Amino acid sequence: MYGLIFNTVKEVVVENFDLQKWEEILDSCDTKESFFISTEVYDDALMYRLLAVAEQKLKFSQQEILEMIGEHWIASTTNTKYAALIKAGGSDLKSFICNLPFLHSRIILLYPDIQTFNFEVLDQTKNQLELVYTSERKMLEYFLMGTLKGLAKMYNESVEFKILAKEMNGTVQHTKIMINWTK
Amino acid sequence: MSKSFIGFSESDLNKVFPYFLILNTSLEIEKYGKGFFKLFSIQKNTVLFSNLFELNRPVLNRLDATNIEVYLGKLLVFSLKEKSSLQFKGHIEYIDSIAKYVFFGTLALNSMQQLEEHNISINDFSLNDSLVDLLYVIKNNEIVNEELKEAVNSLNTKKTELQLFRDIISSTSDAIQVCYEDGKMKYINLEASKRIGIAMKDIEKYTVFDFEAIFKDKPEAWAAHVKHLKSVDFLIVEGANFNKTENISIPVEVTVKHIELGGVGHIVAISRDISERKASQKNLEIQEEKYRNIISNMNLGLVEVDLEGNVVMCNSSFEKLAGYSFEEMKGKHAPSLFSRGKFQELLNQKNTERKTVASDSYEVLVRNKRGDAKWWLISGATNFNDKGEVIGSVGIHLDITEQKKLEKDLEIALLKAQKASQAKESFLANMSHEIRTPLNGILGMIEALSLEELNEKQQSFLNSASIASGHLLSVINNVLDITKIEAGELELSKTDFSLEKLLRDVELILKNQVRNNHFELIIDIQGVAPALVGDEIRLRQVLINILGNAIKFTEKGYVKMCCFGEAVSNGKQKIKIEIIDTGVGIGEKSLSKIFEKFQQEDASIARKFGGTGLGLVIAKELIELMEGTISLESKKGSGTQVTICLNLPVGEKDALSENEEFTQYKDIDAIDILLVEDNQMNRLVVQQVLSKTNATIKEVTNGKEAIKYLEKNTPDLILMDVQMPIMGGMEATEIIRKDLQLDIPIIALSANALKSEIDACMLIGFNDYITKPFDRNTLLKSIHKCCVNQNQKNTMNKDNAQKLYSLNELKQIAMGDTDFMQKMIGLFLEITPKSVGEIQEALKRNDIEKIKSIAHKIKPSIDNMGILSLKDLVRNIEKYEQDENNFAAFESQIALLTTTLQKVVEQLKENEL
Repeated sequence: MYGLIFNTVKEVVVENFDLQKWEEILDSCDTKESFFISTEVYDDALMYRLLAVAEQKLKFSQQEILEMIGEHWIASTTNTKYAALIKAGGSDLKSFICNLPFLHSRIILLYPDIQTFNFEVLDQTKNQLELVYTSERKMLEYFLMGTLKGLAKMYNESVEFKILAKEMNGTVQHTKIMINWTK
Repeated sequence: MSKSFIGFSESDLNKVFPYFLILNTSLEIEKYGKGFFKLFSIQKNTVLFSNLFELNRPVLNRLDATNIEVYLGKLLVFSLKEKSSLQFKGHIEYIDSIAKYVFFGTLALNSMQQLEEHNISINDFSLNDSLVDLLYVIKNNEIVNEELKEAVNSLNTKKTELQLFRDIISSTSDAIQVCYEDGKMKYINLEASKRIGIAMKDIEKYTVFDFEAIFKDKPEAWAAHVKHLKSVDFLIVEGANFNKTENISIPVEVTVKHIELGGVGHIVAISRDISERKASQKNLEIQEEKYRNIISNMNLGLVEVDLEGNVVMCNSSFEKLAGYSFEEMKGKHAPSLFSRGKFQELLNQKNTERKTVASDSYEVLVRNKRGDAKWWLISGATNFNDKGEVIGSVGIHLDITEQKKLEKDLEIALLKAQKASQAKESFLANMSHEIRTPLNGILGMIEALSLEELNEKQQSFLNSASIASGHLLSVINNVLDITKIEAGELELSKTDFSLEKLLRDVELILKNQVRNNHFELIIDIQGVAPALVGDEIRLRQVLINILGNAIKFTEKGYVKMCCFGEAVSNGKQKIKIEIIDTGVGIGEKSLSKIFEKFQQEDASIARKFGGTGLGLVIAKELIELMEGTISLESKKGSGTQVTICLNLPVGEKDALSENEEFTQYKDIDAIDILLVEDNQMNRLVVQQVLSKTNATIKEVTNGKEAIKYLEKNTPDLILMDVQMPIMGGMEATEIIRKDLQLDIPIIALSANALKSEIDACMLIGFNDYITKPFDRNTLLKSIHKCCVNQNQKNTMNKDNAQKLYSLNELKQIAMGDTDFMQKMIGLFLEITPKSVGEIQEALKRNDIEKIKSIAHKIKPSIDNMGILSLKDLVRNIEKYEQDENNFAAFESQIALLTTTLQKVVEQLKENEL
């Protein structure tokens, strides 16, 4: 998993608690890492240890933490790092989601070590669409849910998200998310 | 350009190159790719390429139809003139099929922000255009750069912190050594480097086994040690830092800890130099050993007991003192083991007190194991444990049995000495009585005889008898004076007297002796105040003695007595009296001893001139009591000069009459006197003295007869001898005061001149005291005083306002300051009623001490106000010693005191305010 995600976790912890809490969590993860470079790949297991420790220390469930990270990532990147890129992804949430597979295809080329995951947009109507997220990683659907919520806020749209189904196909999990525009 | 082999519609062109341009041969733009429509408003008319765009690369003035051929197929970079930030890159090709120039290219942006700036989205690019990816990469690089900068900053901060810790570690006085779990050394600090003599940089060449011999060649022991360290927080052990090069070993206390650094196990050892602690520990051990030896060998017995008093520990000296071994005493209750009765109680009490009283010393009588009685001096102190809690006491015991015996012997010796002293006093009193009583008779008779008509021969015999008895009296008086001086009983009176008259009297007394000699007696008096305050009688005694000596030892020439008074200062006058003679003088050797007792120049003096050798000693003592000085200069054969210097308060001339010859016979006329005296001759003397008055005298010979007489009669005055057979004067007076409740004035007549007896008499209820032999003046004055007092009292009883006070003394103190006088009187009037009330209250409570204390307090006021009738009375009350036999007299004295004071207050209010 790229350092980008670890740094986002750090930002969430520092913003909601403090730096000391982050160091405390990291110290408990049995790692030598003190810093994460966004473009470096780190062991997935470290992320799951981090989540487990954070769950204990922050008194939030791992799902909640992942959603927080996803939402924060959008807010943070919107305001700072990847704002232009995100905004270049579409003029509204729907177009962004529709562009997502395409965006993702480009990103895969830039990050050669990225693990295979995929987005597919299904059953698109005016106020609703279904997004299928496919990944070998566990629980990252919650991170995705967080990013979608963050994007809805960014585009200032009233949207409901719901995980409709999770299906395992070998080691791969398909998560179907229904996105519904309420206004 | 070759012919096209695929057909390419405008729509296709827009997909592949959304930023294409079609130009005619004049380089006018005929068609725009769809991408341009988002960037600026496209005019319908054709526009020259060079009017809309500015060529950035290659650098040309302008690109037009004239030079286009050169740049066909080459990379061109140009920007929109109206938005120079919008750049494009690509190339222009000539397309034969349409005979037009076509620009194939795309946007050339260098940051993601530009996309946002120009509202360009990903869909505005051809799918194969990698610009977006490039921008993404650029952005990523920016982000990573930022992250790296942040990490570097953070590392720098950590590096600074690390340096601080390194400095601390380097500067600490503890040696720090770090090794890996396998024993390979990793780090030592500066102190460790100094101690083990190995440079810090070389430490990695060593293993822990090079320093810790116990682990050398024992890897399993080291492994076990490491394992143990992992299971505990830390270990503290004692060891040594050894410097092989210098062969120095430093004792250390080592804190050893296992820590993980970056996932690698390390052993950290921090060694503290404990040389000083070790040295002081050793010193302490030596001291402890020393004191242990002292305690066990000292002659003082040391015992430690618990809170209940049970023996916990003792030294060998105590074993010797007690006679028991420690084992026999251990756990036993010490007070019960060694003592009985009140001493056991004392020991128990001390044990209890020790919980609150830190330390004290006391003596107890104990019995040792053998049953021998021993006195121990015990110095006890509270014993605390290391938490400061009281756990019992420690006592140091000294056997003082021998000292106690010695003390008792001394006590007995002292008692004997006191008895001997009392015997001496008693002997002197008796001797004085035995000699004075008949002497009183003799002198009285001589005085009586001298009033008769005598022939010359008889007169001559009478003179001789008078001189002889006078001398005898003088000898007795001298002996008594010395006794009084030695006993500290001699007190001087303070009365107003005329020094000039005193000197003239002395001259008159001694003139007779001069008549027989062939020299001149010169008296020279200058500047002496008319009245001075002092003891006239004692000063007369001194002057008679010294002038008498001068006369005695002078055969020719002169004897001169000069008296000079200096100017009065602060109410006092300095007086210098010089007695100069041209007599035999005193040898140098004798001069130094001249003021010593019983010293005469040689035995022949006593034979030739008589005397006791006490005169000068008494003179010196008396002058010094008067706070004056006396000195003597003499030369053998040339004569002697005695100089007396005094500084006496100036008195009142008016007050002098009291000291003069008694003439107030009328006050004692027609009074009834009871004379209680066993000695017939003395009775005769009294009769003789009072013969000039009209007083009636009833004679009885002892106290018992007196009591009997008084049961039926009430005389005005009683003259009472103190020592009489059957019943003495003291006993009789007590009965008169207590049982008969009579307040008739009683004057004691006694040959005992010692102050102790006079005080006893005054306390028992006598009103005055006359020592035998008395002269008529003394007796008459005393009777007069008592009569006047009694009259005052009677007058008071009759509520007749006779003046009971005299302000003469106060006037003298005030020296004309009337304000002061008024203040003093005011103060007296304010305080006295309170004092009277307090006395009466105290009497009700039987609080004698309070009454005595008030008497002491009001005594100066009574003196200042000249309340003569209370002068002695208040002093008697002050000195009262309670006794059931004399309490009635005491009560009547208090009644007299309070009523007189109340009367004085009334009189003062009436007369003086």
